[in-house]
Amino acid sequence: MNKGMLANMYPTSYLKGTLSLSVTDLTRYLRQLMESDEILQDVWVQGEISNLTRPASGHIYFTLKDSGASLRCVMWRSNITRLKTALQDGMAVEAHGNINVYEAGGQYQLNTDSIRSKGEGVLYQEFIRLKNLLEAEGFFEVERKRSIPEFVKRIGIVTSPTGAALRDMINTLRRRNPMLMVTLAGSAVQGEGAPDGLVSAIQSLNRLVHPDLILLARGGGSIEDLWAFNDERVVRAIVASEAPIITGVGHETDFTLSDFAADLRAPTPTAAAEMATQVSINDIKVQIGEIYFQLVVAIREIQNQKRSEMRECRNRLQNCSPARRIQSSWQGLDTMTRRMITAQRHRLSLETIRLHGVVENLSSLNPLDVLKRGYAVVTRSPDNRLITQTEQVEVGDQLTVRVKNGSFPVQVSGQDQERK
Amino acid sequence: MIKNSEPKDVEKLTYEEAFAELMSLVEALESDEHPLDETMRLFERGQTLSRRCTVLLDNAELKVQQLNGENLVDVEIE
Repeated sequence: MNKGMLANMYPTSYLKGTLSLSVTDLTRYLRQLMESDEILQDVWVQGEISNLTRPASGHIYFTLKDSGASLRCVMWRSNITRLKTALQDGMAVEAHGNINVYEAGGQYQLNTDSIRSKGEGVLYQEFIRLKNLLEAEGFFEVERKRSIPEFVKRIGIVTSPTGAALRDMINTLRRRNPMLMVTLAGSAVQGEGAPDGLVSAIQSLNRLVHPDLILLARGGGSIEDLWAFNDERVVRAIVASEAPIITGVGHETDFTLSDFAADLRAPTPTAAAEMATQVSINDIKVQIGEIYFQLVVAIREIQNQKRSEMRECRNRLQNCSPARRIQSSWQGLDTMTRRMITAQRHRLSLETIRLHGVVENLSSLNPLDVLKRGYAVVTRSPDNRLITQTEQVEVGDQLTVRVKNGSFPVQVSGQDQERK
Repeated sequence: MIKNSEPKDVEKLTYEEAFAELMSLVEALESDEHPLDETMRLFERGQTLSRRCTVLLDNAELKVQQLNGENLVDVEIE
């Protein structure tokens, strides 16, 4: 197959030796060969670091060696920031990356993107194996986890009695809620005896103290340092614990099997102590204040109610008192008197109006008054009879016309046809 | 419960006892089933209880013990 590949790139005459490849061609060919190989493009290599150099460019160059061979390695600056520990000559490591060819130097090298200490890979394999095993038993199921009680009185702590983690947790608990009772069950947190120590500490707390909650914690360290928290026995003790457990192991980025099994995982010991005290002493003080307020409101309401009951009763009593009745009699009398006077006044004014009317009528009946408005009275001259109808007069009759201020004689000169 | 038992000296109550009595007392007052002089007495006791709770909260000091085998030993951790 390789032959075929070469044949695709160059005429067969090169292969038969009649013509030669340039060094560049050959090197490029080797490069393409390596870079098309799946294994060489994603490989872990273990060995000891030597010839470590860090030029000003920020990239790192070193050689991985074992008793039989050596491998040139380069790590670019962008990958170096992800390194957890500083590299040193003589360090046994496992390096990951892809093989490429530095054409100018005629060298193949491992283009390294990550480095872990030797053995970490084995540990990681073991971690995955155990995780799968315990996961199959349902240890990490969310449904299995107990809720962390809101109000806590007694807290158990499992950690190293001399570590900084203990001080951090105690200080946090003291600040958040000094009403707590804390019981420390000390244990080694790394080394061979650590898993057994952790298991027996968890068990003793549950058996002797019955805490509301257990904090299982350890400060930061390498993956080997934290390894006890990946121990199967420890995980089983966490699951079997009567009290809910909060873990705070290592740093934010560290995850152990204990974390997976715990009822709650905190990123650090301090955070675990905070999560254990959801209700701080200040919250409790506020609560007491609120209850006291409730008390005041309740008593005030009772007083108000009694007071209004009493007021209503007093009102009813007053309604029944004789004084009230007399008062009301007086009032009735006053009302009657007032009505009487009003009626009388009304009657008087009515009579006055009527009188005026009569007087006016009277004056309109005075005949002289009518003459004032331009009317006249006609009489026959000899007998002074009043003329009220046309039939009473003949042409030539002498009549007298009386007006407002005197009279004068007239003679009938004709007769109107219109008769009624 | 409040009526029947002789009330304990408030100064001897633990925080939990004082708190529980305070709560039941508030409930009793809110239910308004008591004669006026008794509600006044309940209110005064409630005041004392809430003062007791506050004092206990203010003076609380974290107690730390260590398991030594089967025994609990007081320890100081600063």
